[in-house]
Amino acid sequence: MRHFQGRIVRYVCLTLYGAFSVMPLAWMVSAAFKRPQDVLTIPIRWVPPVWQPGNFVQALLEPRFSGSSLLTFALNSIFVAVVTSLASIILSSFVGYGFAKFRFRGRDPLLWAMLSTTLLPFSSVIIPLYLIMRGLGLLDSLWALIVPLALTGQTIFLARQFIVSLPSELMDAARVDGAGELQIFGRIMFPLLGPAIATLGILTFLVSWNQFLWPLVVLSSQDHFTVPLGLSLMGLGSTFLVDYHLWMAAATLAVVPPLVFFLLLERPYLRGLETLSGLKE
Amino acid sequence: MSSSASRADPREHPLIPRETKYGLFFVSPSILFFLVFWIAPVVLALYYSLTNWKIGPNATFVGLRNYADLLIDPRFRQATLASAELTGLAVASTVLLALGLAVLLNDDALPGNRLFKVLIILPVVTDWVATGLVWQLVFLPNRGVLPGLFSLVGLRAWMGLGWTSTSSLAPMAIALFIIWKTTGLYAIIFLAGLKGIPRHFAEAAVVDGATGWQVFQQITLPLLRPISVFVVVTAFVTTVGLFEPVFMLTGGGPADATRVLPIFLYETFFQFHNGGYASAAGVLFLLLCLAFAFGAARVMRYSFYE
Repeated sequence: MRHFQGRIVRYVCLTLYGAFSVMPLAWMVSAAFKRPQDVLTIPIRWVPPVWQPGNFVQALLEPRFSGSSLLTFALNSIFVAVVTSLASIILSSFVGYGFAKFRFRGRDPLLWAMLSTTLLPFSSVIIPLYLIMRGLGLLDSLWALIVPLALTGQTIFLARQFIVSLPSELMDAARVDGAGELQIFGRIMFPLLGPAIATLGILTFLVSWNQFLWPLVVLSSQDHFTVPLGLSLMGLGSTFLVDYHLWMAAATLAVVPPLVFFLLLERPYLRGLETLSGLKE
Repeated sequence: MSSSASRADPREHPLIPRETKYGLFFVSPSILFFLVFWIAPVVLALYYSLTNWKIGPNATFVGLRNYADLLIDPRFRQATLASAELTGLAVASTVLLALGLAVLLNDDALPGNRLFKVLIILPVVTDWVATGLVWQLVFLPNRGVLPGLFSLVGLRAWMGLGWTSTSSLAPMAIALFIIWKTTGLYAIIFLAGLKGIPRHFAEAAVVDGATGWQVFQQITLPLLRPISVFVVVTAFVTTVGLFEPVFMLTGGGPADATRVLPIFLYETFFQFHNGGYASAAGVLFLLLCLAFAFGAARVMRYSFYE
């Protein structure tokens, strides 16, 4: 009986928090389908009285800014997030393999140095990082968004944790057979990573898709903007003050790719979070 | 350092052990990245922080003047206070809520358990700007979602509150946005920590007559210590460095009430082009974060035993 009561309390609390968690997103999707006059009403209308799916087409294709549409921003975002994720998968497992399977002087301090970068907020180094990008000639280029996230302390640590658990005997056997070190990594160890590749991919994809401050600093021409940067041109105080339904359609479109990606790769994503917190070897 | 297996290898270099050679080869990209994206920026920031550099090519050495100016600059002091207020509010609520949610979710037999987990983590994977637009409309006085909910429960007097335009409410509004966006992440991490605690510890204590609260306080919490350190430090570093939620909801206002350090740094450099001064502020910000990270790790490691 006491167990039963406990479960009721559990449900009530979880439902309340779950509602808090979903409500803004549900309201956003509902508003995205509304006519402008139905968006901000008291009482709130959770179901649009008149459905207007054309909002999405308008939000996506209409040139809102100086000639660029949300579609342009979305293509930039997809390019950046996909290239960054692929680069991160390859580079992080390459480096993680070195940290996991070779013993050499200075290895552990080096790994700690990489990890310590996760303790520093990115926003504290944007000024010098901006100067470095300027020196590399990457300002206003999409590559400026890709390069700094192609290898991070987090992804190195993740890859290392996954690779440590792979059997070293396979490497020794391949060496006896005369395989080169790059071949051993590329043909034997990398394919064994399997689901870990999905983990590295989704974590990097989400970070890359959602970055805002860094693109705001390095990008200047609108046809290079990513989705969050384009969206920030909307918002209170902008010239599109009354187009709330279109804002919400644009916001909905912006959260669809990361949400779909997350729902497809929920397990590897959660496994990645657990590994990062040091709970899983 | 090399293992006995590799010593027998005929390809062994006489001076550089094979393991060192290939180990360094594989980790070399990380050394390059570390130098270019962390060491170089810190060195550059330290260098420019000692100059009066604006944005052009000229930079004259001025010693520690930028630091001295920062210490008496009321705007910098206000930014530090605003950061402390917002971070304290958001991190404390986020961590406690996340721990509570993890305890509630730590029951695999609970029907719908997986659905709740997905619901709670949804805001984590969405982006700050798109959801920031939504939260602008949530807080819109008289017409937004929050006023709509207030009118539903009879709090008509609260409908006109300017959540993002009143100095006393703005930090709370931003903190609520941050709580909504990040709690799920830490709940999942705490949950993984809870699952790692062997069930028989709690069961034995219950047999000995311990209540649920006693078990939580005296068995669960101490065993969660390492993961709690991780969550608090991560939540602090992430939250104190946040630019987006403030930028989206208040832009630093009203009257500097939410002009946190990342906004201060951004404006000092990219709007006022005061490079040397902004670099010095960046260095102080970095030191603050390091001090907190190490301090928190130390305090939380020992406090449970004293």
